[in-house]
Amino acid sequence: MIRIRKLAACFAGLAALSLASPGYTQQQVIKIGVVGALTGQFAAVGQSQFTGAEMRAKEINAAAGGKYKIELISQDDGSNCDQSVNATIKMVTQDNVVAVLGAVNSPCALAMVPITRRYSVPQFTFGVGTAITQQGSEWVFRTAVGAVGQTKELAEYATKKLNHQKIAVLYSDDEYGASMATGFKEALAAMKMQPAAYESYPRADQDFTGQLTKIKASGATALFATGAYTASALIAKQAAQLGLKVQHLGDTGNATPKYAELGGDAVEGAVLVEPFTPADPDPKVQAFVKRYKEQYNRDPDGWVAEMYDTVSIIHEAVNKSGKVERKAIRDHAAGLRTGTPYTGILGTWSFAANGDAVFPLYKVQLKGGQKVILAR
Amino acid sequence: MDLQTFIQLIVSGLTIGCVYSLVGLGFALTLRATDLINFAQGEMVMLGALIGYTLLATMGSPFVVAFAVATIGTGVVGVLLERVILRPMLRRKAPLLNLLIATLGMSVALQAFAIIIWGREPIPYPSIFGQGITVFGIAVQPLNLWIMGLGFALMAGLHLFFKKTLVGISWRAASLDPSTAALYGVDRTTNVALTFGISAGLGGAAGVLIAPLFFASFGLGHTVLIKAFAAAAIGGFGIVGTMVGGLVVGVIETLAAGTLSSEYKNVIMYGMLLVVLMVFFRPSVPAGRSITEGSKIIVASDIAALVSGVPRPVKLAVLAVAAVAWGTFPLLADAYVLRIVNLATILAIAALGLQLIVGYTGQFSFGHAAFYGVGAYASALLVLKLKVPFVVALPCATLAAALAGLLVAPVLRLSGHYLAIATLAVGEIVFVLMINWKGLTNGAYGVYGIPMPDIGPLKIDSDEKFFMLASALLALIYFIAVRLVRSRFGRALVAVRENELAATAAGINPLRQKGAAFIYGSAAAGVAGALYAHYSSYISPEFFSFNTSLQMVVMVVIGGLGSMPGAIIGALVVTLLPEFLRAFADYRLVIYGCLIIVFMLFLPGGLADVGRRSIRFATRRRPAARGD
Repeated sequence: MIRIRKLAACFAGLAALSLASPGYTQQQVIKIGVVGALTGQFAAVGQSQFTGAEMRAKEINAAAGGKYKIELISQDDGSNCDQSVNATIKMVTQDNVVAVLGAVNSPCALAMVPITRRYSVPQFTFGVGTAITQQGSEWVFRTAVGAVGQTKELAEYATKKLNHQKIAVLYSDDEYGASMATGFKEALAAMKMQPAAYESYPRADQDFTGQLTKIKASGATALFATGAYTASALIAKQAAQLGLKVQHLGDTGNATPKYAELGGDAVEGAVLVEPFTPADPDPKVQAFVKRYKEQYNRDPDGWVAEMYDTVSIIHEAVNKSGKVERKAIRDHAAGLRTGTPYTGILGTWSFAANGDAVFPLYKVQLKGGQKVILAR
Repeated sequence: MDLQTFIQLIVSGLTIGCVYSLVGLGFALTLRATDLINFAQGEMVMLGALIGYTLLATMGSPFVVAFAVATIGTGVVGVLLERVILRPMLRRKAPLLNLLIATLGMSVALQAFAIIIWGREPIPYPSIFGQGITVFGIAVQPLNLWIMGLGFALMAGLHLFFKKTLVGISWRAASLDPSTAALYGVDRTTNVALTFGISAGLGGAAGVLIAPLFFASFGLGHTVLIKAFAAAAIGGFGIVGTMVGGLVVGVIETLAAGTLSSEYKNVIMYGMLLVVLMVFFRPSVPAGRSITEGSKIIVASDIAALVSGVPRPVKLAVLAVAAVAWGTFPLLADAYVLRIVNLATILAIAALGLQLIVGYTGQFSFGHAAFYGVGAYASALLVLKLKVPFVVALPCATLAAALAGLLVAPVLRLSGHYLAIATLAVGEIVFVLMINWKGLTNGAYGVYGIPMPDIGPLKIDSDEKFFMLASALLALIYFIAVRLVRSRFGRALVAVRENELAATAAGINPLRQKGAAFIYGSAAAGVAGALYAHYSSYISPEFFSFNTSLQMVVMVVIGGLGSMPGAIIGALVVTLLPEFLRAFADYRLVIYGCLIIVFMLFLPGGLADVGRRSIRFATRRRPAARGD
């Protein structure tokens, strides 16, 4: 468990100092629970989730004159969904958090939905599994574009702007990969097209030469590989080894800098969609990137930005309503509709009626290890 | 498909096959020398890859040097592990199953160490091999050639070692017949140490070879483990056989993915494995050492026998207190504790079933989670799609799991390690079916929105009420299990476990007994699965994978082989442990692994044994002193 006790001590000192000044008021604590994979295959994503929230929490706590301070309580679920639920129950009933961020893995986020609903706690997750927001719970908010939205944009861009008519799909056989693959296939179907090849791989596998050979034989000019970013990077490498020259396409799962790092030369030229990119020249974004890099020694990714904005939204909810209360936070988030959006590091965005976030995606291309924006 | 593609697939298959051969050889050697399947073999691969990486990237050594150092390094680790953990256990004639679990503990602890030293991220190997060349349209990487070259060289060396050198020949003698070889002055202990050293070294070598193909990471071992296993099995655990077996597995796997179906790639491979096992490895003579031999199993109910001396009123009082505790517990416990206990109760039911199969009948079962899953899906789908009430769905789910058990029962003709692999393969096959039979199971998305159970007008809509239901079912299953094992059937099971030949001579049909136990055990898992589905409201294939099967085996072993109460306690401990260890963050896994090892080293009878000894101590008759 990582508690920000140091900050609490720090601000006990600050509070003591401000006792001397007139108009001193007691700071209330907003406890936010963070559940995600901090160990295991998806550890990097879990780290992104946590550091994004932590950075914003630190900024809020450091701001002078703030009535509220944020305390994050982090729990590792190791991508085991029973543990996600256990951790959620613990944080909600014992630690009394007013909001929960998580989980990182879609099935685990899905498993948490009945729990956050039962205890009436707002849940914010960037899991892309379509089912997450289809459970009829008014307490779940997806702070990301889901599988359907992502694949639609990617498919349209690949066919219309990059002119690929024969696109192969290689997906990991878990919920994430399956959601993306189905979405992509349907997006192609809407344009009266079909994938040139549609193959899957067992999630834990690392040898894709069989499938890649089949894809090579299909004559595909582009390959949409979806699943864990490590697998996607490996797929690109093995494709290169087989002499398979294709345009690699990726969803936000591959947007993490680790993908470029692991894939090396093999992922040069890959086109990805992501909600946020360090390559955006907007000064606000650049300042954010700089701050994040100073603290965590790497570039921020979409997941970082999504959680950063989420903590901002929670803070804003408490400030506006004056109450550190679960329902108030939930109502505020639900109120961020198209007419009354939220503006944060992700730009101007809102939630749809079912809790899905609505915002545009960047199309970026990896060039020399850096991301170059192609469109938005 | 054209010839070119076909040959490409073969080339790729041979490359990965070499790796399976090397790792599989490690298995084969260990098995022949010690009758033990070393679960930590995968971690030797991981270590080799990571050590190799450190040498290549941070120290800039040439590849051959890194290869040599990594191989020798992991060899040393293997010898150390044998010395510290396995030798004491072997000396005490620990049950085979315990040894297996100890290697499992080693595997977990080693992975955790790797995470601490090298971090969690996969590490790409520096590309030192250059670009590939295309020969007749087939891409050939220098990497492939290196792998095959070094791999074959190593295997040839090993072959020569065993055939021509004195040490090698003595090893074969000692493996074949340790006592006779000892008469001739071949020292068994050094033999075993040598075996582990070579096996580990082979694993490490394989690791350095595959890391450039994949990435070096703490999880590297897992992916090759089962397939290397299969390679060794197909090769009959012989040296040359395993080498060939590895190549066969690699080629078939790649061909299957490239030609038939990538979705069912693993099913094809495991299916093939099962066929090979059933056709070639059915023993005509029942197997030798039982996997539970040496464990302390008391047939009669432990508790009843031990407390027989306690006066009646005391017994009644204790029961009354227990009943009150049971009734008030859900009211006093908070939501978090209640949930953990509910989960533990569900798993305890499955563990009871497994205890019958493993503890009492002495059969390996590494696929128990498959029946757990069958029960879960059956109940969930019946209630959601056919609107069947829970009271009907539960028995149906139990029946479905039992039927699945019946279908799988033929593999019980195999014995020992072959059965272990077969049950593992079955588990994997069911897992893949769950993922890909989308029409039935909704595939990888899982089934969500499963309602809580309702028994007629009574709605079980809270954790407290669920606790009542689950514990009632647990009590029922426990009662049935105890009656089963105390009956003639139970005694027949133990007879089969201890000595199959003698049992047959006594008129017992071993296959029928094993089959019946297997079916009962699977049925229990089915009940547990159904409960789980309705409690957690969402199930997905990944909840019923090999990891879960392994967890269940650990529960049974930690609880104590052959003890029904032990299975329950084991379930509780294994469920609680990750929650307790939560506070330790990164070190959680290390502690978990070390705990398992400690248990196997010092508490081989499991917690039930501890319990028995305490009860015996507490109720021992004191000699009449003081003459009053």
